[in-house]
Amino acid sequence: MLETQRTSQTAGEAAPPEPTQTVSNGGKRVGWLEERLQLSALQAKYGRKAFPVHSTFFLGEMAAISFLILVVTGIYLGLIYTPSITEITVGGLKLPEAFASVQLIESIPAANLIRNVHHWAAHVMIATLLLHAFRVYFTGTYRKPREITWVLGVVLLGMTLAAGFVGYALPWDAFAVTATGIGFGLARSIPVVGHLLSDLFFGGAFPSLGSLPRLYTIHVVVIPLSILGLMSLHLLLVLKQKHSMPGYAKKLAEPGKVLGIALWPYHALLAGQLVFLMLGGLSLLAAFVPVHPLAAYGPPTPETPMVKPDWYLLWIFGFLKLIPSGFGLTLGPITIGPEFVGGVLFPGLVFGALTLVPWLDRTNRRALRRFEYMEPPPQAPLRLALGVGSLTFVGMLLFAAYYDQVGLTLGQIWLLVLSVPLLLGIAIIGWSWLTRRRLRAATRFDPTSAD
Amino acid sequence: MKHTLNPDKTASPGKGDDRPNVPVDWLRQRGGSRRTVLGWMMGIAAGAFAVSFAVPAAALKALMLEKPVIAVGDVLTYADATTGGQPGQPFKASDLALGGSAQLFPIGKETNQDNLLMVVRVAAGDGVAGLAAYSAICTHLGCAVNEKLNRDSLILCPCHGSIYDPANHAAVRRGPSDRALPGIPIADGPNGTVLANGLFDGPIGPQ
Repeated sequence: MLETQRTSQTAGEAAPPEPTQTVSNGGKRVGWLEERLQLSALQAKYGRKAFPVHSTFFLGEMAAISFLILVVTGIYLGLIYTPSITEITVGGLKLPEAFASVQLIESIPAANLIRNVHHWAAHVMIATLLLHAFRVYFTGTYRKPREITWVLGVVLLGMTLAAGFVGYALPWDAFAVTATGIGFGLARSIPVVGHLLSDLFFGGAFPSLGSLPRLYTIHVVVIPLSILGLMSLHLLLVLKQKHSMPGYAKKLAEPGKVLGIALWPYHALLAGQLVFLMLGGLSLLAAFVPVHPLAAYGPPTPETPMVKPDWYLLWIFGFLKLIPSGFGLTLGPITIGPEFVGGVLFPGLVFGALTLVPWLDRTNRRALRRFEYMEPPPQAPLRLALGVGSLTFVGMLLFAAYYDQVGLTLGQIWLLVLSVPLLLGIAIIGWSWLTRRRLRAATRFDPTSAD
Repeated sequence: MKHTLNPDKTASPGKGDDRPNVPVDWLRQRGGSRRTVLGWMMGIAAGAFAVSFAVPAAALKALMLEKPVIAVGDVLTYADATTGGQPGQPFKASDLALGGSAQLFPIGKETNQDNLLMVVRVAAGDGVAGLAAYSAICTHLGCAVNEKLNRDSLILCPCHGSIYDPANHAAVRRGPSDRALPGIPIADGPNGTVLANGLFDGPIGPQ
């Protein structure tokens, strides 16, 4: 048989022609995937892109990994959870179905662990997002050409906070109903469109039959898809514009060149390590630090428990606490009350200011060159002072949420909330003025690129 | 309709061109062309498409919970176990001593938080004489007021500290609230129970 074949092959040009796309790999057999996908072309174009290296450059990635963990754990939880407030009888007690389904999750150790991982991943996502935003702000890398990336980031931050707020309603215990009800009241306080918007978002006058299913869909579909879409756009921009670089890269690399490690396999390896590190850390947290068990507040009752939101929304709570209760005005049919001012206007102003940062920065006005390098924060004292002052202000609001328990009066806490950030900001400006000799032109770092 | 042809306004093909002058329609007289017509059609279609989303959006709004409202003749039952009565167990007027209070629901209508009542004994008496009944939902921001009266025998809301006087139509004594709790008439029922005997004399909760 074999000989016949051999003969027939050597007899004529019976051998099939070589596929023209096969890439010769030093004589080795080309891979199955390579023949179909031309991965080597992908590697040549994208895999060799350089990722600059700096200790703060993994924060955004950590937020993205947290998001991934949230989606996976969320899908698992969604397979057990029931988004309904209809009462069912469980062990002789009448409980809302959603509450009972979370009780079921709590009773299965593996599922409870995943629930706690989900909770902690949410906190980690928001924390790393904030740290990432601080890094971009204090190094001035939101400037040309990265203004769009910055705006997308601010929107992503807002959406993540919204996801946290809506997610809190799902267990439908006494805490969840009260906290979500407060949010509903804040939305209701918007003049003119308040009733329409709040009915739309909360599925009727909360707590209505349609409230929990609607909040569930918002938490599971609307917000995650939006975050995924905007995050992809954000990353696409980073790919196109290239990640900003640390200062040392300007000394080591030529202008216009990116100094870093290749996406594949080096950066991918680091990212993979980060995924497992975070999974491990979150699992440890989930196992040893208890998370809001249902028994803490129990099923919803006619009584209203005293609740405070989690830290990432506590600043709004703190600001609301500071507003005197009679504050507000009535213009004909429109009433502007303290809830609207503290719960809607104030956060709106904060996010508005955040969004406008690239345009409020005078060094970015009609900038001719692109800012490709991180600027050392002491070099921009006004940016540093405003940033530190604003963060201190928000921190003071977190403290203000507990001011009555610490024994302060309203006047005293107002004094603290206003003066501490102001003094800190002035101190920074003063310090930078005193050390201005050190920032002479010769030692000044130019974060723009000649390219 | 000024769509008559103006023979003086004709398209001039330009010098050196040997095409004859053609009469021009009213659109071309104004500098338009087929592109203008198509542009307008696209614009109106896009606008109508966008506006049409209002129809499914409007359907999103209403999904109201069937909320049973308290009515005349409803037997009042304990809301929860803190004042010594079991939830669902009928309330008896004799259960309260002077200065005592209880939070009650009309029987079978516990799903509507707005039905929560605050009943206080403000004076000694038989049956409902000496009892005052109000809505238990604070008129400030909608929290449920405390079931027990405070040291001065006044109704206290734990959320922001509003205080109401049960002996004086639940008028506001202090606090961020600016409206008295709505009151509701009650009547004696069979076997010492208490029935709702009317509707609230004001809207429930924050307005």
